[in-house]
Amino acid sequence: MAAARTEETRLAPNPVVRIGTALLGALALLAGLATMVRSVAIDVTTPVDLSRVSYATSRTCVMCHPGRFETWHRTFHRTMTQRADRGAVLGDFEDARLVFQGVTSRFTREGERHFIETLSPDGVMARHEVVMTVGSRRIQQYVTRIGGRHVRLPLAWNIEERRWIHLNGGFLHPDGSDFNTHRADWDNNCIFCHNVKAQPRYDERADAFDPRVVELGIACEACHGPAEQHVRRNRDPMRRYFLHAGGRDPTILSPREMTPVRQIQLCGHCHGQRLPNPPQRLAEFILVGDPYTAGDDLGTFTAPIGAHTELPGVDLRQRFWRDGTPRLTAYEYQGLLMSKGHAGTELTCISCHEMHGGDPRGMIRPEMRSQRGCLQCHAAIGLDVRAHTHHHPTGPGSDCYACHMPPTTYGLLAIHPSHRITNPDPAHAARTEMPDACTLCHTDRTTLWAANEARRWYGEDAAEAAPKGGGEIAETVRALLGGDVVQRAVAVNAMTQEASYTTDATARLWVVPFLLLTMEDRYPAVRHFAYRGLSRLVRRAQAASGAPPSARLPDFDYLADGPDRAAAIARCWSWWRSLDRGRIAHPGPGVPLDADLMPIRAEVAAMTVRQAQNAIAIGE
Amino acid sequence: MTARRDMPGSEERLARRHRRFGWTALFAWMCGGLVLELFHGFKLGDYLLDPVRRELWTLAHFHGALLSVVNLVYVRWAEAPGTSAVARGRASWALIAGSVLMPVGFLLGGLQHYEGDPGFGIFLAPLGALALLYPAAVQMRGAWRRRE
Repeated sequence: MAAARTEETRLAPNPVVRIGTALLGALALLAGLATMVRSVAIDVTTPVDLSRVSYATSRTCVMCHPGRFETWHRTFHRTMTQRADRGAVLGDFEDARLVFQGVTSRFTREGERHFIETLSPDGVMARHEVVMTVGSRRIQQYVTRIGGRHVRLPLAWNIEERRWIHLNGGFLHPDGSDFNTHRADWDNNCIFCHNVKAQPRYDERADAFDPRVVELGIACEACHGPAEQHVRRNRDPMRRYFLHAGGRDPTILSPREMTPVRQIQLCGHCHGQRLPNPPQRLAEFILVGDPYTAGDDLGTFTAPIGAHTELPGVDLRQRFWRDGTPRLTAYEYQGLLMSKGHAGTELTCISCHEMHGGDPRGMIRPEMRSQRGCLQCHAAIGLDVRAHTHHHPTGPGSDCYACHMPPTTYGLLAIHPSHRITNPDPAHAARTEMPDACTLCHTDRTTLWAANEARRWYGEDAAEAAPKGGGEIAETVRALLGGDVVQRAVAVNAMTQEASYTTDATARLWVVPFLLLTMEDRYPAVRHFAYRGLSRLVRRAQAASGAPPSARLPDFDYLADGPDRAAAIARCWSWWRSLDRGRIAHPGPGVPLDADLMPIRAEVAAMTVRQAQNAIAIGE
Repeated sequence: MTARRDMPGSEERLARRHRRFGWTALFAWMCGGLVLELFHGFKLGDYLLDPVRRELWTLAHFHGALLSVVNLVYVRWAEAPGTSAVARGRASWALIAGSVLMPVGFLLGGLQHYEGDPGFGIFLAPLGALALLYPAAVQMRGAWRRRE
């Protein structure tokens, strides 16, 4: 025991030495920490030129951003383009067939491989293996490899209706268009907007493409910029926690921290069709790749297509209403830039749209589809909605979008809200031959009525005087019978959409005869709208009445051959005649229907003559 | 094991210290485990839907309970020959410190956290781990010493 105590005494260091050693150690540790923190502080405040940074792909993002990754993973952005494996392919490839223009196309599968046999441009049937899919929400298109390029075939799977369609019936082309009108090159077209950092890599000598993309589909780095530096530097926990405590990481972009212009350009890079600027830059796009990186000034590389843009062989004016408002999807960028009062404001795409939350259909939170989306900036209007809208404060007449972003844009067999935010002006719309918000709801009313009401409510400064004429026929009926293909599509949608001037679903059935006439339209897409809208109207009316259907609406295939369609339409007319139409009130003198709710043929014929004069074709 | 009435005073204090700490901590972390089971049973979204929090609080419960048991076992090994009383004293406090810091670090790290990282409280966990290394090293050194 004594020996142990002696040993302990001999071994125990001097307390002063012990304390001094501990202090020195602590100081050294603090000095080391301070040096590391200073190093990190310098690193996070040094700007980074992202255009020189490599891409990392979304697989590396999930490690630190599992929540963001998950919210992106369930979007249709991710599945915009995919390799054609069984998880991606949505179409029926179990020896399905589609007959169109007398051609029978077949869709088959061998294990994990999918094939489409269809008509080639040289007139022979050919079997193609599907290598990629495009789209995953409304319509899925299929890409094959032919020679030295990827080709998008003209057949597609309608996801919502679960059927095969020909793309002549998906875009706005009349009957009789060439079978392969929508057979398109993917490498120098679709690749740019449906993927991250596209590089077609065209070889002029071989006339072939060797395309590369950072990632198929629209993934993280499309909006946040190339992330290789961000991933590498943030492996350091000291750096990460320094940023958690506050501070901005220069190695990655956050769209919410961009200026409004850059935010809009970020989305406009894809949601606004553009041409290389200057035009000679086209070679760079095709030979090398898209030079735009998230955060750049988009105008450095491209110019948005407008109504006055000239492109050889393509009449771009058809994509716009006469006042320059876009009337096709993929022009939302142009629409927003033209919006009244937009310049100089904080309004951007992400004022309403949500990339990491909300409903993937539309990338928007449910509340943003309501008045709340607009009242976040226009709060004063919310204090007395009726005074502003002159409609019931919670009814469809007080839906901000219905008036200021009316459904006048066509895309993918649907009608979408216009992204040019304007004040409704029926007279101006009549002069520029475009739909007006008022008569898109009040489908039984004339332009004259709408223009007079607008001036009465909002004053002569706010709305133009009614044009001469425009007072005889209900505007939506006039557009349906005599307008061009987009006008007719928009009119059908207005007649059959859920929002309406009346809540009486049965009363709305006066539009049925016009829909039946429209089912004879020579544009498949318009026929499709007509029958689909008719089906929805009938379902709503039956549901509202609670009575069993007296007679079932006959089937109609808008892509069937002419004789088959005619027979189906005849059956639909018989169905209409057999209905008890006593409960359906006549909509008024502005609608050319007789007392039996049958179309007044002479008036209808006079309007449809103008329709034939408005024959156009609008592609992608 | 030496009968308690035959243990020197300092060693008796050390053993008592670890018995008290060990059983108290074990009771507390077992209760914590029950709470986590209640979260599962009553489907508490703030816990179940937060993978970072779930993982960290599970780690807190597990490490807390495990280290509690280590403290109880340490009572048996604390008086291992070849280890000075000073070293045993420091190792004892280091073990208790580590047994507190590590699981509490996990707990706080999961209480408020960032998307892909635990909260700042997580820094207690590696400090606790370092503290635990000391008694382990002391015991290791003592175990390899020849008995006198």
